[in-house]
Amino acid sequence: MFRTEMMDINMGPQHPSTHGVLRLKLLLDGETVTDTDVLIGYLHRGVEKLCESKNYHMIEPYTDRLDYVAAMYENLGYVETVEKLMGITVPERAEYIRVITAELQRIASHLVWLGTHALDIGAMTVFFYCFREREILLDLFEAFCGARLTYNAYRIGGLPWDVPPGWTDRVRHFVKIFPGRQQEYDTLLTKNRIWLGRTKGVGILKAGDAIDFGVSGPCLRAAGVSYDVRKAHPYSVYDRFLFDIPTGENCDTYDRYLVRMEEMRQSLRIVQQALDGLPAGEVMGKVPKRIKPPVGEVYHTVEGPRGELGFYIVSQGEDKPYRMRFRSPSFVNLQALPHMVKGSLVADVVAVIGTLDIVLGDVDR
Amino acid sequence: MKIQAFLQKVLLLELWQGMWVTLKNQFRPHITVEYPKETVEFPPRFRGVPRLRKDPQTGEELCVSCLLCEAICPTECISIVSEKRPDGKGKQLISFTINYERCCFCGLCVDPCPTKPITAIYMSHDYEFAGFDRDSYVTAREELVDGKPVKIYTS
Amino acid sequence: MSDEIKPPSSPPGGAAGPGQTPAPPDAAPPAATAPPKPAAPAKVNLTAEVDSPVLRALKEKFPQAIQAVSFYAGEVSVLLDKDSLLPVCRFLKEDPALRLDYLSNLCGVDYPDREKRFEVVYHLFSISLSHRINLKIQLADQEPAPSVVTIWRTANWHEREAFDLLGIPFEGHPDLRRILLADEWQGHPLRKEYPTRGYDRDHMKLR
Ligand code: SF4
Ligand code: SF4
Repeated sequence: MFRTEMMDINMGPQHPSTHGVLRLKLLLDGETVTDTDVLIGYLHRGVEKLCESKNYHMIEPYTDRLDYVAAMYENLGYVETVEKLMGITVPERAEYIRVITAELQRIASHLVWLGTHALDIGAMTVFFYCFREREILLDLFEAFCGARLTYNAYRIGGLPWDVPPGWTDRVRHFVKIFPGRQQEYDTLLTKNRIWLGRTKGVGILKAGDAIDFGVSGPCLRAAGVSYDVRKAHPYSVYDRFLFDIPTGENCDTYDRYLVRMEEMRQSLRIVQQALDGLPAGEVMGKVPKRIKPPVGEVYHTVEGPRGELGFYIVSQGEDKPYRMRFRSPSFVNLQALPHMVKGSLVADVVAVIGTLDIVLGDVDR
Repeated sequence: MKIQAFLQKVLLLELWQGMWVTLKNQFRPHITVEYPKETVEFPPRFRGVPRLRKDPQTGEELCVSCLLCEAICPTECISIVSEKRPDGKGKQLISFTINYERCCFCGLCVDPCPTKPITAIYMSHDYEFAGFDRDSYVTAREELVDGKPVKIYTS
Repeated sequence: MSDEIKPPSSPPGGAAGPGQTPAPPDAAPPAATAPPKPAAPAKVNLTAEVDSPVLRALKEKFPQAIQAVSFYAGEVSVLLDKDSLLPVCRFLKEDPALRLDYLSNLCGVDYPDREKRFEVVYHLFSISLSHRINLKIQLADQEPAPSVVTIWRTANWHEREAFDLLGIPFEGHPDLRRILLADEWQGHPLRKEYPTRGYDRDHMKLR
């Protein structure tokens, strides 16, 4: 028979399928991955250190740049943490608008994931379809806050602006057309033989391992654990909306795809309910001009599109945080990658990176 | 059933189905624009680079040199020098520069500006700032008010 | 700047003094020094005590390990003795009534003014029972912390990050090396004495 030799293969940092600058050192036996070393940090900007020298208002634009695909969530988590730290209550209307924008952001983020994931695996068309709908969402965000990616859309205590006139009607229109569009992705992928072949049984992450690795978000739910911060610790006004937590059974890439697809539908449901219940009134609560939380520390989590997004702030009573820590879901989820690709083929590594839905800005901070 | 499947194969029905989708999409209106020739329309809140403005009615300087925008800017790209007015009331600007190289378009500087409802500093709709040297990004007050001349690199 | 409203009970900044008094909320000075009219935002008592089943179980099982308990905004933080961290963690994870199986976050905080300058914070969560607890230990410079990788595998990268950015060594970690910074990097940026713009960065002078 043949004699095989172990081989070290370097994947990345500049590789189209790693969604940024991620470097993997794969130890291959033929085409089978036997060991993986994940090397990150190419995008490390030291945001945590920077935050220690900025006051609480100034940090929000920095949070935008962590997870730039879902910046609304970084904003949301950050302002809510500071509000919790200071005991500020936010007006109802602001909470509802936050929920609407955040859930739209979840859809936009999942669309990026779906498009690029499918592109990695070889389905080109889905990418264009997804970005077509994402464009509508980005236009909505642009009309709401003036930016398409780095929103800086909330302020501590509320929102800087109310929604522009006619905006809610545009959102309603989107809610109406989107299920039909999602049907198109469904037709393209869900029963597609190639898609099934590339995703079924690939990158299995069982529930026990997922919890042990700290994996959260759709990757955890696809393993059958119905853990969602929106239900477990309802923040903002999430306890008022009806929605389901989709879970998978087979713990594989295909189930994660189904879970995310279903999450988009549930997000749409939340948006619809929030639009119907949108109260009138102020959007900015009573906040001191200078944000100076008392001495204390808070760990607050929100459910981002990638998983549990945590913010840990230690305040020493100054107008700057003493310590700021971002618990980014991408960073934690990526840790499970070596476990998921062990024993699979090199081509599956690409699929697994896609299914983890990492954003390197969030991983490296 | 068999005949149907046979016909489907011979007449390449599935191929024509696909072609039909392509054909339909051929005649849909374009959603892209030919960029340098035409530009997309911006919503009123679009955040381009920050600029200064004067009172649109009286043409007076609006900025009262309160330095609030300088204090809140996360990238420290605004620098303001001001002096006491000769008549003793308030301050007047000597220079006001924004380093566009570092501005991150966050819009925080507009929030605290006290000259409401028309804030002295505002997020304009300008965004075409390609340049060859870094110094050209440090923008002085006159350019902030009148707008930077846009260089057209295409013919 | 204009009308600044002080939140109540904010003692002058800086660390809360050396030695004990680890958790800031409890260490807040008595209300007498607080301004008589508290500011509008702080109607709720942020440092109110909350009842926590985990804390009760801990007090029962490991009374000698708990050095201090603090409350803030409904969160319970327990300062533990360093040596009892591993048994406590194992108990919390495996006890059928607590089941804190999810290590949500692990990070270090630097308090250079204290005698034991580093604090490692563990944010634990139970997925099935939905309760939380925060554990803390204090360490002197270069004093190794016990690694919890054997209990929660997710601690692996978190601990590497704390080692990388703060220089806290973790004893028993399988693969302790830098994670975010380059291998040849000097110093640990999240330490308070490390300048924000770094050492020898003249070529990056900002204009
Ligand atoms: S937009 Fe942001 S970065 Fe730019 S000048 Fe204003 S505050 Fe500074
Ligand atoms: S905040 Fe407005 S008024 Fe104050 S210095 Fe800036 S531009 Fe001038």
